Amino acid sequence: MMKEKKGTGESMKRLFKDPSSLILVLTSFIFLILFVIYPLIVVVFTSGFDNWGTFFSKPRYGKALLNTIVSSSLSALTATVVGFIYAYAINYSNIKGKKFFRFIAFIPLLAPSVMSGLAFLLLFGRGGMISQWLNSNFNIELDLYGLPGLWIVQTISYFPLAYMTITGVLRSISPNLEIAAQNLGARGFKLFRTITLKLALPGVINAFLLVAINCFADFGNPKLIGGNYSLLAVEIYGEIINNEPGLASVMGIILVIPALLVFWLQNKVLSKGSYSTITGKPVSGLKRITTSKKTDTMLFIFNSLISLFIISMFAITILYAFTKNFGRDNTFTLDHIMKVVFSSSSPAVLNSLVLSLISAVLAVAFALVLAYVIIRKPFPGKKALDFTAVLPIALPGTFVGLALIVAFSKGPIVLQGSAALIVIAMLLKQMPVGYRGLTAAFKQVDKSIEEAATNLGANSQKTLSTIVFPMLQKTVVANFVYAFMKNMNTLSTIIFLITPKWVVAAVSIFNYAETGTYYWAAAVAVGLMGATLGTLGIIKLIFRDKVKIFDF
Amino acid sequence: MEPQVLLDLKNVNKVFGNNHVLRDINLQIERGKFITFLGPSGCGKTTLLRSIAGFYTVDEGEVWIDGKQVNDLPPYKRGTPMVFQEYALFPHMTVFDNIAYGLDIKKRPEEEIEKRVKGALAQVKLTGLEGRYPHEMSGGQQQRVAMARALVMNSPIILLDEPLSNLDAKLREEVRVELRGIQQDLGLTVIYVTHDQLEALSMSDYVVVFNKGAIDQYGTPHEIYYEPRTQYVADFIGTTNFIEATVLEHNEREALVSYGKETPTKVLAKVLVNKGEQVLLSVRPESLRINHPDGGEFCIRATVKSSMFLGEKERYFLEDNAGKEWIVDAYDIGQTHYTGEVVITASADKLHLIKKNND
Repeated sequence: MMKEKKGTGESMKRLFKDPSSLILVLTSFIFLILFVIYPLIVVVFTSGFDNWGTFFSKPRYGKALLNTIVSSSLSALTATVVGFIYAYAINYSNIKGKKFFRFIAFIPLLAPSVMSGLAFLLLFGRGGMISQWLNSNFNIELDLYGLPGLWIVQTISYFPLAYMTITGVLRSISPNLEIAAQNLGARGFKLFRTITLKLALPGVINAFLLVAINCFADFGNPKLIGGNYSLLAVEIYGEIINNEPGLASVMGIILVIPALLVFWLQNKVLSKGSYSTITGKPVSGLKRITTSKKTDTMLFIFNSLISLFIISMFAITILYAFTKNFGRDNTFTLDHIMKVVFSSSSPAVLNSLVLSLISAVLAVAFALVLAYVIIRKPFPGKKALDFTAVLPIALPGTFVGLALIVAFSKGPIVLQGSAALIVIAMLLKQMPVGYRGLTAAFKQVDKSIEEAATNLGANSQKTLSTIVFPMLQKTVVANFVYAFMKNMNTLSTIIFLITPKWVVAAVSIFNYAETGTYYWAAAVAVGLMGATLGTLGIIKLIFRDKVKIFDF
Repeated sequence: MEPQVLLDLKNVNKVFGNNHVLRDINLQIERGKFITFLGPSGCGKTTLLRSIAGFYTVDEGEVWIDGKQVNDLPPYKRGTPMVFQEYALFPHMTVFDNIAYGLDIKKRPEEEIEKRVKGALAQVKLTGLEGRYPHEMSGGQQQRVAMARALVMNSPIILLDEPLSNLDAKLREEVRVELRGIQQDLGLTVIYVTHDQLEALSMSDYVVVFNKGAIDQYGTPHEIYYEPRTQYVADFIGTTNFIEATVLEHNEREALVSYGKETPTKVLAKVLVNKGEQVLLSVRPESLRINHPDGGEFCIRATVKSSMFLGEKERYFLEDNAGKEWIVDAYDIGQTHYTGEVVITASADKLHLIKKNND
């Protein structure tokens, strides 16, 4: 029996016959090995036995680990519950103002999560508006620093993530199923418990895990609000400042373990246990009526309260940014904005904008190349490349930043202090998202269209630039927008990489908030949101109806 | 001088996993001919076409185009423009840009591109539609754009992968005639993949019949239809009646065969047979006649079971004494309608001898 010619040798041979693919594949390999594999290895070697010993012998670190587990579990639990109720109200009830509620869940994406921490301090902190009001009127001393405050802030910061994940699942449940259950006599809470919740459960668990690993490695809010309640990410920051990369690496690895576990779970268990794929064709025009009037009222009040909370957070930030010293001197001023946004001595917002744009463009371009070669080109090591490309999605931003600074501050390649390292860190976090999205989009495109181009004489690079890119433009732009917004708001990923010259807005907000210059922190936050919105507006103008940015 | 053989396939084999899709394909295709690869789905015809275009690399054997071995050439260097089954037009480009694409890649000067694209559009009768986008056109027009995109390359060979399968019957017939016309005008070598026997018979200079990854017969449409070499070919092309027979005597040209209890008949034998060998006789329904006064060397009694009026002919389903079923087509018979017991006859030259069990 004749055998198909395949295997490493054969695909190597084919690759060398097609130099344009060879270049794309080689570049992908080199980049990912250099910036994903190499830093991982360096971190593992830097951690060392002594440091592991130190970590487990000093109660301080054990306490930080325990705090991290407790606070992120609590926050994930409440964020998921809030996200679920919020999403259920929007997708299942007959309440008014759904569009508004969707918009409210979207706006936190425009600001870094550390802005929630800042706003929380402005409202409930020592000099906060509400704390003062309670103090002067009821003589109540409000102290939410530590776990309680962190819990509240992380719940509010991450509930939009849970909300979006759960909305996706709820939308994929066919109304037919609930109508069928009603037809069989199920009503009210019984219907909710036996059908809706059961079907949504894999998605709800997924949301919980996502929020949990995000909280687990978050740096900004724990540092701002945690006070003495120290978490691992904060300890890592301390060790980097103390120039103890070994101990930092140990804790970095501990941060990564649950993240990788969740990543593995998502891929293996949840994808198999999902019911949402067997729901059949959605029937248009079918409307579920699953909630009673009373339930609707309760859901409406719940969503309104959450919205009120979010609105007050943004409002207080804006008030601080545009007044001399809010609470003491409420006169309108542009001084803060001029000083920290538009002055050449504080380039943070401009830096954020420039670095985020460059990184987002590169991330999406790289994701496109990766998706193209992995889906369409034969070459050895494809599985390994795919794995390495997706891996950074599982790595917490704090860890990515840590790994890059440990790997590139000494040794053969030194990039510490350069803007390039910041761009790469952002890219590593966003590229896998784009890669996944584009891979999915690619599978929708008929392969013969690319074959037609090849058939007419186009090599891989030509096919990519003249056929694939224009055809996937929508997905490309959507992923670019997402990557850009994430880049603008990231703090954990770049906190170890910034230098005085290349300070970015999210770090600026954090620094000003830590030193108590709240009006400057607020002004930078407003400037950052303005820059994000402005850029999105320009993108919208360029692409018009080709992209949906504000999709509520 | 150019070699007369444009495409030469030498012992080509292709395997996908455990599936041997092309087996020892040997084929020489002459310049300027219209060749059809015919067979049911999964017979390997499209795989062979794609191997010629370079989308698949063959696992054994050689592919020669225009005197050059192209096994190691990637698709974009082969110069084998192809028309895809789903047309594969670039959705984000106008008709003009679609057709100009290959010339742009070759960096031809702009005036030349303009001229050649206009020429190709005229050939496929789409002049004036160069500004449209594919989604603004009908299926038939899209198909023509796909044709023009291949034609504009001025390549000596064009590959077509079931290009008419998405058109309705009437349009298909129209395009068939035009396509053959263009091919003859330009002296193109066309390789045309189809599962439609009518398409194959009506357009081709030569038909290649595929059976499970191997070539069963290569010949003119007439040879394929009237002198099928295997039972498979006879069965696949058109409708036929098979008769089990035994060779009584034979020489190089003829064989005396007997079937059932009827008298032995002399038939042409283009293949070598042995005395006593079990063979098949294939006879087309239109070659058989019912109750015909002239009779014929072949003669059998049968009973009409049912019939079907098909417009230009009446198709009869009959059963002989041995319980075997027969299909006979009667043309231009006016009001005549046969029922009950009848006599089926045919002249001996209509009986085509096929060796048994060779597929």
